Amino acid sequence: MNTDKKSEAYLTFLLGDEKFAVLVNYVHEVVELNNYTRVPDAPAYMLGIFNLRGTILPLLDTRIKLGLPQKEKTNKTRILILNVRDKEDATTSIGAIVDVAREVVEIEDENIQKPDDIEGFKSTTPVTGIVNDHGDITMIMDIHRVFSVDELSHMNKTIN
Amino acid sequence: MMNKLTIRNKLILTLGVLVLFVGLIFIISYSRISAINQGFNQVLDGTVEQQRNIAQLRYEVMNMIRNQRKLALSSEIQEMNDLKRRIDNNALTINERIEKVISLSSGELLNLAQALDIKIDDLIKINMDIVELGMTNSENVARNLSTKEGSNEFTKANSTLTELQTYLANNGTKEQVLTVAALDEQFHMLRSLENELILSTSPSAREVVLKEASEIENRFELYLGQLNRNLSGEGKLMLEKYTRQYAAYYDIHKKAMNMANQATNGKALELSKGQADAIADEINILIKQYYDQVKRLLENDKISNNEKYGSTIRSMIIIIAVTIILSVFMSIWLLRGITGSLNIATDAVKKIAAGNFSSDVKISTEDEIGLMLRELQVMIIKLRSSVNLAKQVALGDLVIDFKSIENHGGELDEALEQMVNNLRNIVITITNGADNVLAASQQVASVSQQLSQGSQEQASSAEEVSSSMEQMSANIQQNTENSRETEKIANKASEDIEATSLSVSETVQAINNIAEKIVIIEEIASKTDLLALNAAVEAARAGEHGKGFAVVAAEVRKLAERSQQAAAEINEISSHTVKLAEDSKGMLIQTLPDINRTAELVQEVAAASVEQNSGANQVNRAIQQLSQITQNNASSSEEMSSNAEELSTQAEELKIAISYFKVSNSQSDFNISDKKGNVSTVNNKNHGSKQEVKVQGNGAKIELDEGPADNEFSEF
Repeated sequence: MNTDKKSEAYLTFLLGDEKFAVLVNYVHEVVELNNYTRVPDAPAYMLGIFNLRGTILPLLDTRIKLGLPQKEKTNKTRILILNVRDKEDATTSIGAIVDVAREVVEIEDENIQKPDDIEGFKSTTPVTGIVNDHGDITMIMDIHRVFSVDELSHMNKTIN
Repeated sequence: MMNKLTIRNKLILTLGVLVLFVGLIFIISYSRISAINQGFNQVLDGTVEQQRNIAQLRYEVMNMIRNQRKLALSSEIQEMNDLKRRIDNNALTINERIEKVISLSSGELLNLAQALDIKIDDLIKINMDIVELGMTNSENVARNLSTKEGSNEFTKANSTLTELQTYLANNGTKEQVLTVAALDEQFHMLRSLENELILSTSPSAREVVLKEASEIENRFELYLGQLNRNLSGEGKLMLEKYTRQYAAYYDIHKKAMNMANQATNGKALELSKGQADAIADEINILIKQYYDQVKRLLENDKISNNEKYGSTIRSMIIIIAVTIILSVFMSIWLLRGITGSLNIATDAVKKIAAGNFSSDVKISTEDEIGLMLRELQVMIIKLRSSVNLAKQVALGDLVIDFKSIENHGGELDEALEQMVNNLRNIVITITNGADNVLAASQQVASVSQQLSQGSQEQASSAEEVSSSMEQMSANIQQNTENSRETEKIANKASEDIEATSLSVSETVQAINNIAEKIVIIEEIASKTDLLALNAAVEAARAGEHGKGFAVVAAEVRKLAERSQQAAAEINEISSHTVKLAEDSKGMLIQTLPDINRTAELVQEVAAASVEQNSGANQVNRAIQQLSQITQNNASSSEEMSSNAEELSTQAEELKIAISYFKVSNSQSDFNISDKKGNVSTVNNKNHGSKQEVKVQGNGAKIELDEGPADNEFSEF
């Protein structure tokens, strides 16, 4: 809560045992996974589409997208409704499935370690920073690197 | 040269030398003993005779001297003649003896005898004088004259003179009386001188007496003349008568005086005592000398005899000693010759007997043993060549050209040749055999090793099984007891389970109720959590304004999360409990007949266990036996393996050992194989052919195995 230092609010979630964080600004809301509709001829990571209070949104499996192994859905499984911006700065909403949605936390910028400092990270990695809170590692994820706008727009076109 | 003598010749030589020496001893001893004998004879024949003669000579000389003395002193004519005859006999005997002595004497003794002869001649000569003088017998004649005729005449004259004195005393003057008295005195003195002369022995005394007598005669003549002138008449007639009577007496007196003065008896005695005695002494001395000489000669003879005896003894001793020494030396020489040769022969024979043929026999003699040694040497050379052959064979060289060897022949060499040939065949056979044995033994070794390993594993397995069986046996017993216990427990359990089953059913009902309620709580909590999260998201998006709300949202979310967790836990626990309880119940119910059945079974089990126990024991024993057998097998197979390896190594060693024998020259391999019964080549061929056969056999097998299958396949 120290206002002197620059900090941002992040929503943390779990993919398996790994903890990730996304800027809360991109998060619209968190909902439970209920019914969704499968879409033919869709990419593997696209589970289908679902209805969010009258709006149809693409439902994406973050695990597949990140190349992680599949996992059964539980009652803890949540959909993060994310607002992804495209080139024209128009926002597109998507539903990204995560294993567990944890909490909203304030992370000071100085606590974020850039992955460039750590060897072995690709330049295209979706992880833009790492927070090490006494061994509890949280990877800050850039959702734009995970979910590219072109795909999304293509998906939206498909949906619409 | 000595060495070239044979033993026979040596013996002959030795015996000859000994016989020679014995002969020498005989000759020398014979000559010496005869010399000694001669000496004895000489002493007996010569010296004893000499001594006898010389003793008689001496005796005769002494006898003769005694007779001389007797003769000199004798006055009886008959006695004197007798003595003279005896003296002559004595002289004759003496001459005989001296001649004999001379004839017996020689050398020094002859000189002495001759000297003795001269002396004896002198003695006889003096003897003759003495005899003559003795025979003259002047003293006795004189005495007779004096005592008989002289005395008569003296008495007549003296009586006449006394008449005259008486006449004159009456008729004559005083002067006349004195003169007649003086005349009478002179007359008596003459008479006494006459006696004195007859009795005197020495010539000087006789000379004194004669001188005195002549003085008395002169004085008597003077007195007679004075009277003659002064007297007359009757006186004168008386004086004349007296003068005549005196003259008669004076003649006799003169004769007696002469005879007395001759003193032949005395001279004879003197001669006898003087010269004859001296000669006799000389003779005695000579005889003594002769004796001494004889004695000396005898001594010399004794000494010489002793010397001869000594020298004979010495020479005998020397010769005998020399003979002994020589015979000893010759015996030693002979013995040494024989024993030396025999020793050499013995050494040689010993060496040969010991099998040592390396040294030559030293042939030092040319006797019979030498000949024997020479033959031995020949034998050794022969044997040595055989030994060399044998050594060659021992070095493994079985390729020997017997025809090229000198002195080859005899049974030994034939045997050697046969041996080498046989050895060669045997070696070849053994080499091939060893190859086969080696291959076979290697196979056996590997097989037996496998067998051994298998047996060992089997053994260990059997042991494990055995121990397991033992444990099992124990367990079975335990089981028997346990099963009985179990039966009871099972019956009890059956009852308990029925009761429990009911309780569990109730419990499950209760828990299910709880679970239903909890699900509701869980749902609520989940919703709350989601709401709180969204609230937080909203609050974060609201920025500074949403911060207070964000805190609340976070707290709510935490609560919800805790509720959710608790609910989940309860749910989980209850559902788990229900599941467990239901399972338990089901199981209990299921168990019930099972338990009953179990009770029955347990009874059977108990019965079976007893049987099982005995069976297990039997099995255990069997397994132990099996284990023992397996262990034996393992050890046997190990032994076999090691034996096979041993056999293999021995076969290799045999090969190596047998390769020691050179069966053929590498160059002349074919020649030898051609020559020597073609064993090696045949065997080699056999070996090769065997291998070929084996290969062919394998091929055939493969064909047999695969052939029909192929055919079958082709048929199908």
